[in-house]
Amino acid sequence: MIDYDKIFDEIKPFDLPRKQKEEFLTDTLLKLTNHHYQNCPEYRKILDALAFGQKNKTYSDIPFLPVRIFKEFNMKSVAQENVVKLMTSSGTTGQAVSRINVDRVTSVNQSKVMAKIVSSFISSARVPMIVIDTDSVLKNRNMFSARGGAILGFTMFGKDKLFALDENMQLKEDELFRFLDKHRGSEILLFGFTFMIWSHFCNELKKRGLKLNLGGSVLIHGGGWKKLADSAVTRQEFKDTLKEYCGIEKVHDYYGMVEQASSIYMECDYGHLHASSYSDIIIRRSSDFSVAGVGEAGIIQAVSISPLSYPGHSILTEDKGVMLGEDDCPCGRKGKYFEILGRVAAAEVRGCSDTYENKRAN
Amino acid sequence: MKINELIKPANLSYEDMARLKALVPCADSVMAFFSDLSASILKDGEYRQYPDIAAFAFFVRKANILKMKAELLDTNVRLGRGLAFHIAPSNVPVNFAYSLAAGLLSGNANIIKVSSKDFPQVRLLCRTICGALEKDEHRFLADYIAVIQYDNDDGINDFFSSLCHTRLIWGGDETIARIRKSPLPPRSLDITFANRYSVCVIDAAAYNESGDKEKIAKNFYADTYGFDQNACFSPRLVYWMGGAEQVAQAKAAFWQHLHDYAKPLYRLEESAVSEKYMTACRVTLLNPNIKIEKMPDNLIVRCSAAELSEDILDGTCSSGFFIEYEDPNLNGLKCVSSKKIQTLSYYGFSSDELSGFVTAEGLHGIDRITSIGKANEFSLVWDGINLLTTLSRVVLL
Repeated sequence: MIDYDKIFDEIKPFDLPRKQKEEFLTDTLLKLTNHHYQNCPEYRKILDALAFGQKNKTYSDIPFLPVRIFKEFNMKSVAQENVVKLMTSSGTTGQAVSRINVDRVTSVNQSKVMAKIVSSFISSARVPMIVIDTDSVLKNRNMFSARGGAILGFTMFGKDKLFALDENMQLKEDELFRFLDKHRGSEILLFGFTFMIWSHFCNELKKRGLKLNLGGSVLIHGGGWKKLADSAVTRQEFKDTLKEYCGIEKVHDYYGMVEQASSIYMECDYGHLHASSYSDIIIRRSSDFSVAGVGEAGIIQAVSISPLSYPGHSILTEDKGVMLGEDDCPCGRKGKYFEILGRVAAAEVRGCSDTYENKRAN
Repeated sequence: MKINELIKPANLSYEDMARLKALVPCADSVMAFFSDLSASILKDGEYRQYPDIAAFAFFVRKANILKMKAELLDTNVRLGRGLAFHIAPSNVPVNFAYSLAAGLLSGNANIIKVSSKDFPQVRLLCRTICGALEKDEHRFLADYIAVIQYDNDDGINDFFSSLCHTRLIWGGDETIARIRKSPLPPRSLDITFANRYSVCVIDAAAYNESGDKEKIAKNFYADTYGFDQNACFSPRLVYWMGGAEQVAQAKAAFWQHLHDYAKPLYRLEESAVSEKYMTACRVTLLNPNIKIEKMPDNLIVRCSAAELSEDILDGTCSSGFFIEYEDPNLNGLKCVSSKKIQTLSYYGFSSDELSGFVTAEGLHGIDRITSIGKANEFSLVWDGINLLTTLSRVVLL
């Protein structure tokens, strides 16, 4: 099977040039395809329906599952007793959520991939950390929402950590200043979701007229821009505010999904999202699912070597993106770099049904 | 109440509309109005880009109404039931006009709730209807027509339901369940149009011999892609009758011709691409032995089924998604023809042959049998219900 230990020992996150990465991913992802084919009846059914044969293929020929399949079906490639956690997407109430079955191996893979990727953006492996969220999202340890899962994934970098918000999403001002005093002069890692950082941290600092000394620190944020774009906040304004009120100059957005948790795509200093050696992005033309060229917008397919306990190693997302280049980003990282263009436009109401925004029912 | 009134009687309240004189079905005055409306539409250049409205104009011209009257009305003395409250669907823009025609031709006053979506067809047609109502001889009919929009609100549904003598609920199961929460007066009647699917059956040998495969593709397109495959009459299942070789040959030619015809005409949305791929996977997981056919692109997505079941069309989608099945005879239709099947369109059969099959087998579904390309034509008999007689009452002598 796949020797993950060897992979994480030998392969660095951003060092593989195109040809080697293609060989590595083709070999690993075809093994995973075979593994899921043998162990997940649903996956086998779909590959059989598609008449997929493994001969002479590269990883971009491996079928992708539509991301919504994890909302409608329970997909797993291990026995139920080996599932150590169930990760779910953070859908709004009433929406179906993805349910991802994670076993021990997959869980370890996720941690290692995450550690490798993020260590490329912070100076040392263990730094003091401020999570701009409340620790109450971590309460139920067996049901990992995407939000809780991402926080847990990142907190492994913290040697001392503070959750900066209380359960009512209010800034814990006193504790924050005590924490900053204690770690004066050291690099601090801040993590949170874009929208929450903006509304419960940036806006709060502005309102209270607080300025923090976080020069030399790094802020990593994810979860998407949609809500902020709706409130007409630009990326530049977000970064400028963090600089003005906290002195933070290193702000990295990331792209990721619970269906491939921890295989995140981090934004470099040049504003490009980067695929690591352990995962990749393929932009597909919507007309025929062929691979789009650099600069051409399309639907994002995401592949990752981590998922062993569920067939999520090749997924067609409902996000749109555009490839910007490969192996030649001025930041020096190898691999593809790209940009997210938002969601695939929401589907029209289908069928005879009229839409109902229930006034009485809800 | 927040109601957007597209057409509204000038000096009448909605309550007043419920007290108007009922008319006899297919009254001369009503036929004359539709005849003028038809003429106004056909001479208005703005409608050229809307073949669905042109089809409506043909539907309401006098000769066609007289023909329908002869076919559908009995010799009883009849009057409209009173006020009809129509809830038009959001998938077929001109449906509201057909519903109005059914209501008015059967002698009723009509309050029609149209979808809140801004369809140009609805705006244009309302304008032309108002224009036609300005003519002296049609002016009295203005009291009989209201076209309104409102965001779904149980209070407003309650209000109109409490007034009406007939309620026509288009728009499928969810809408029906929702509107039915609003009580009707004791003597009033609900006519409901539930979620339905349709099937196209093709005799492979006949198709292979046909010299007009382009025309067949064009007709099939009109029934499917022409309405984004979103209408209940749009086939989602293509049933091939014939031996394996004949069927293989027919399939290859049929989909190729459809692809060639649809490619320049149909705009495939990105969201539809995602939806169709997800649907192919869903259908695969919910049914035994599905094959997702290889196609040159995402315009047509096809899943071949080795067997049919009553609910195989549940969970399917529109925008060019088809399930296919082949069999040397029609027996497979028995499995799929639950109450949910509305229209059976065909090539290579006669309607007598197919209706003979439906009646001999006593099927619960299939209440329309049409040749390919005519599935999209409206009729005053819909979902098996004769609207002219159901929307009127008999005065028994």
